[in-house]
Amino acid sequence: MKIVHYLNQFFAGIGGEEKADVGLEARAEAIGPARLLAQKLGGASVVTVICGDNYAAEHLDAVTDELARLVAAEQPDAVVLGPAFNAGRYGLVCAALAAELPARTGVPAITGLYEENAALELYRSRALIARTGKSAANMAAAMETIARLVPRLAAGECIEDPAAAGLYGSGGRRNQVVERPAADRAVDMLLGLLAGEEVGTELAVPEFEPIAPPAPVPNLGRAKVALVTEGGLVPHDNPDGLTTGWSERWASYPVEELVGHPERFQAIHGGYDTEHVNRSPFRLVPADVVREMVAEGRIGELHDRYYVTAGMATPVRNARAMGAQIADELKRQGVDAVILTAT
Amino acid sequence: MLTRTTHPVREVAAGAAGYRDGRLSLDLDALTALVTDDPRIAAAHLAVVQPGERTRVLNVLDVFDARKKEDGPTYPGFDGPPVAAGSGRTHVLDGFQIVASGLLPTGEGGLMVARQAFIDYWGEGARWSPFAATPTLAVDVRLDPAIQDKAVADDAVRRALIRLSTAIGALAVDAADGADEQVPASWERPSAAAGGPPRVAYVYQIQSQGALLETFLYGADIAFMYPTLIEAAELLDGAMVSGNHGLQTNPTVHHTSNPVLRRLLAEERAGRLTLLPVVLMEGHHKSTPAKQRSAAHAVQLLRALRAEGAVFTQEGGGMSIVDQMLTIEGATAAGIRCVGITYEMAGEQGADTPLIYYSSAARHLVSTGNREERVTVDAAERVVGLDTGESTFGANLGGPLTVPLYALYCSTSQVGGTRVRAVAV
Repeated sequence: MKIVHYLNQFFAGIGGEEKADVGLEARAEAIGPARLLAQKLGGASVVTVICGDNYAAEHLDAVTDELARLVAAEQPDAVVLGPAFNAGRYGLVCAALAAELPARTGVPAITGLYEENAALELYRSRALIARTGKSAANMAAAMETIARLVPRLAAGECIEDPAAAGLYGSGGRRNQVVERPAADRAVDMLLGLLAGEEVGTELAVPEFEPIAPPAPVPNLGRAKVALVTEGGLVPHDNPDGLTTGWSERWASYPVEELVGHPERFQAIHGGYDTEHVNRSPFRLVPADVVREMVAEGRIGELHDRYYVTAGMATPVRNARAMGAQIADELKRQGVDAVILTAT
Repeated sequence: MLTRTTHPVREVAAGAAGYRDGRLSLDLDALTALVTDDPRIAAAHLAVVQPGERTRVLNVLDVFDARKKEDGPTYPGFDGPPVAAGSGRTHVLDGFQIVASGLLPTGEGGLMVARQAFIDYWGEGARWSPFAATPTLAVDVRLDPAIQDKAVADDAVRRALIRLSTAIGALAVDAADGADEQVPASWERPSAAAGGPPRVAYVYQIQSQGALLETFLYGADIAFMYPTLIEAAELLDGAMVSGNHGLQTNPTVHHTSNPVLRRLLAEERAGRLTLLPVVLMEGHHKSTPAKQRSAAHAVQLLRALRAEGAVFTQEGGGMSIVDQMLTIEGATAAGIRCVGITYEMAGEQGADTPLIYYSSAARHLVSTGNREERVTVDAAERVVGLDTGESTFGANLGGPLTVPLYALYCSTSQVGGTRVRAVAV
């Protein structure tokens, strides 16, 4: 068994933060955690690759290229990165490399992270990541998990049950058809619960990141305000072909046109009763009231376009991307504040 | 006490009307006349569909079983006065269903439109469907195009289905092959003894949001209903009829043969639980306080029943999960063990967040699948229903299609009538 094992300066024993800028170096010996893994594998030929945390984080593309060349030349059975536990820069580099190297070299790669490491959510769909404890105090257990997986990966095995193997899995969901209908499984689950058994769940409730409300606008009377909505209000011919939901795109339209001819607009959103908005689009995009407030001096200025998508059943990922794009556009337009109406 | 007499249908064919020894024979001309016996219905095309046939039924609106009450209305509030269901004898044909296909007026579009889903009776599509394995009378209803009122059009379809259900159910009333299932009312159950089987409730959350997304209890829609109690025997005896044509719908047959209730009753007969009255609630309240109020009252009912555990189901997409989660949260805080059934919206790749709302109290959930994962189905040899060429699923609905799972009618059945689930990978 041949392993290429990536470590940072700290785990390689070179030094702490003061050595975080050292570049990539390969040594034909097992060092630190790599030696522990080799022991658990019952002996392995190891090339230890060492790189400082700062250097790797700041030159990730170059480090990836160099490591890919090294792996292609060495042809190991597997690449092991870290594990990085809850480390920030080290975790990101290990996870990024675990995602990238197999695609570039065809050699399987695995790392290990603590469940709260931010790199996990970024890379779990693309990288094999073993579940570890929070810190290096859990090194032995982490290496035990990785050592059990490495021969299976080296043999080209597809890990069917990632959780049982100590992996996080992609975090994704896949449909299957099972023998017993959901109603029967639910009643069984309840009877098990009532009997005091561990019954688990078929769907662990997801964790949403908390979105902190922004600070209040300091002086609304001098602010440029834009109107944004996920309620699907578009001109009658829907010129940009926005979808009724499952959206991937947004559009913007002139407020002047909406105010002058509200009857030329319609809501195409598929997730609420659009009748009232179609009767008066200002219920959704309150351009009428905001213009009054501008006239009264309570709001500085109304941005001349409003921004729209249809939020129904839109994946969080798409919503996040569209939100960032709209925010960029608003910043370019010098907008200070947004009224966002949702349905 | 309701006596539910089920007759096991083994064979369905067109012919002279009759039922004998598991063989159901349907007079399609007479049944067609029964459907069109309403000025709102311009025409109807009826066909018998067998499992395994390469047949696709488009634009499915509802599924009924065939049933007939010996004495009194079968669907109280529709084919007779809204008297309490749940007593006497009702004959049900087991292993047969009526599937309605039709296009209802869309009006201005938006939320209040009938979503179009189909049933494939063979191959990959059948694998995901809860209805593909049952012999079917498919009814393609063509409404008078002059009728643009959604509720009026929908009512015509519903009443036609009720006429069919009871007319076909009546064929078995005198048959001797029925098996009796007794469904007692709660006051007919023995008092729960201390140390006896656990007291279990079913929290039945349904959708009634307006025309085409509504549900009828004894003939009346239950929009904004306060949570209430109803006997399992009433639900299994025609008290509730669907008028819901959303993406996530519980068809009438899932009210009259609710899979969770059937299972709970079976476990009760086996001595493993005592079934309490059903907590019935609507799940589309339009404000947070309204949802909180509804959930809190449902929990009060569970406490009044001294429930030890409950199964929670829902109907409708999007915000229905909020009502379910709030109710589970309250019930859990009251010390009641909770299991929820939910569909998932995890995106085409299964990589997105599967629920739009959750409570960390919901520790025990059963999945009925990610409705957005794609399924590829072959071309059909026969298509029942009108293909306008404008479906979002494709220009030719009879052809090979790659569609989200929700295009396959009730594949993610929210009352657990499906064998589909999603798993973590």
